[in-house]
Amino acid sequence: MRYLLRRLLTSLGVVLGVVTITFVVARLVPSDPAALYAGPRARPAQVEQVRQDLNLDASIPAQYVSYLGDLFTGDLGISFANRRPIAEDLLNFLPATLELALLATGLSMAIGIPLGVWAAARQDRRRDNGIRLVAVTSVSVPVFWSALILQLFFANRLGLLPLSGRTSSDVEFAERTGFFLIDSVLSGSPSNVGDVLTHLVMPVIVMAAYPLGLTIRLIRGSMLEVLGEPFIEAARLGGVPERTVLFRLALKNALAPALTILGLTFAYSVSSAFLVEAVFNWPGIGRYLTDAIIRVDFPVITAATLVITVIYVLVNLLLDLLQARLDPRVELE
Amino acid sequence: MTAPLLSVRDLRVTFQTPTGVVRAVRGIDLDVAPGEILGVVGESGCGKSATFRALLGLSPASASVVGDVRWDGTPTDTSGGLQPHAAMIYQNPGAALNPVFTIGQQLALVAGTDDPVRLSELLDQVGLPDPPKALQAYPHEFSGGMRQRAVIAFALAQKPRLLIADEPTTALDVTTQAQILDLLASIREERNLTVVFVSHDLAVISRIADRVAVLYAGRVAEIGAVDDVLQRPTHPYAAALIRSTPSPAMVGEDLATIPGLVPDGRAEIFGCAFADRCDHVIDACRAETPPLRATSPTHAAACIRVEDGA
Repeated sequence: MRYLLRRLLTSLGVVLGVVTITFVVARLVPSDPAALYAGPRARPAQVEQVRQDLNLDASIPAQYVSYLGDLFTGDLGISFANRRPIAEDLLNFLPATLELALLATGLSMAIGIPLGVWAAARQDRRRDNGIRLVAVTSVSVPVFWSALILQLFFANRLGLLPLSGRTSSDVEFAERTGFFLIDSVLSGSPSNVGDVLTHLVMPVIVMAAYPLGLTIRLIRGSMLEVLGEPFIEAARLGGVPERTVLFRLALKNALAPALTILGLTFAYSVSSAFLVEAVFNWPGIGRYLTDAIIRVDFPVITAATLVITVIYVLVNLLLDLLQARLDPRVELE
Repeated sequence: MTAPLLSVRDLRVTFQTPTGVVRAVRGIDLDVAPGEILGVVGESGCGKSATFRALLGLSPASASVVGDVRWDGTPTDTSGGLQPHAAMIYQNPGAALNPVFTIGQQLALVAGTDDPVRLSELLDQVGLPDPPKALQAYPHEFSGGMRQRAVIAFALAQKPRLLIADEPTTALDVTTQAQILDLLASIREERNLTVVFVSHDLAVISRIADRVAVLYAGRVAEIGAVDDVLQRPTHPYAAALIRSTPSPAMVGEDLATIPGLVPDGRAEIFGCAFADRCDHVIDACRAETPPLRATSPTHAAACIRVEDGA
């Protein structure tokens, strides 16, 4: 418990550091936020008015302090582009991305871990070579290409899956959590669930490809190391069934070192979602952020960076706790 | 000697390596009597471990293992034929235990039961204090001696007739060594187990073994009752090995060494493998490989100078 508090405190320090850096960078860029907010055809008087309204005429340190104060109350500022509170927009866009990233990471682990174990169990044999080929292919195929191929085949040619979007235009249900899979289940209509699922299939597969290859390679590598240990030989000599040796005795040893990197692929999926979201017209944080970058919408860029940082920090914390559960030698001190 | 429990004839273990063919075992003849403790000694690379790892089926898939192996008089697989009958105790008990499972979880898998009473019994038999608590412990919470006791409990849980102990005390400090040796000796008594005790430490062997086999370059150089071999070694290699072992009586004296090195596993050997290092070498030594010849009913050596005395 004390460990958790201390880790949360240091995590807060990391977030504060990132906030400070993004703030400074945003202010260093030679453009006038007030002019951007007021728009290209605003008169100087209007720009001045905006400057006062947004508190941009205060000194930079004073702005920094008031910005931090706003952050603590959950106020992430207002978008220059659509003049809406950024916190509200993020609440709309973030679940869409998290839904994709969680499913993609889950899928890549559910498939990648057993494949990695099977490959290691048959090192350099035909099955191992086949699985390694799958791993190399899935990390090297670019997202935009695999997405287009899937769309061409399953949406255009076969018409089995919808081309893009989160739902069909005629499907509607209450968005209580923003996770459509949960919301559609809550709506109680199986056809809603089916619609959401069919929309998820392609983007999830495309997003899972890279972490899948990484999982296979990491698990295979650390399994090979563990399978050479005397305690594995001792267990086999002791008549422990090979399935138990591989998937229980060896895997628990192999998982701990691999997990740190695998967990970070989740955070990576969130921050690199923009390609998948662009191809599948998916209203997630990646598209929100790319739109903001194109429009030089500084408050949005800063806020989205902050959110992604927080996700990285939380995932890291979770991984450390998980690692301690897997390996009794790891002391949470 | 009574009918042997394990009988090995002309065992040869050959590894294919990128740098050539390595002959780890070059024709070993060995009998292990039921209920005895057979010590196996020799320098590194003489084939001690390779012999028993091969019999347990632990050689790499690329290795070739040939020879005639009989278990209780019945011919059995040369590679792995021992596995159903034997359990192994490892040199490094820390590495032989899975670090992320409790002693109880691991013991349950080899014992084939989850019953805590039965598992506690097994730990009690190897002298681990407070067995119910030890079942909940992880290996890293144990001392080296306690880990080795746990490893012995794992071995006993498999109900073996033959225990193969591969340098089981080498990684332990001296007082713990003595405790583990006493434990093995008493387990042997209680369960009428047969033990093969592989070691490079003649002091340990003289303390625990009934008979000893001295291995050199993948063959048996000398084999016999511990007292016969250690007091009256016949093979020049065995004699040199014993002279080069320090003892308290020799304080202040220079320790004898054996000049030269054990022949490389890649080398072809003609005649006696020890000829190049031997003080008594004659031309005939290099002409043919000397067979094991008995010097008495309980003692045999593979040296050309040994007259057939049996």
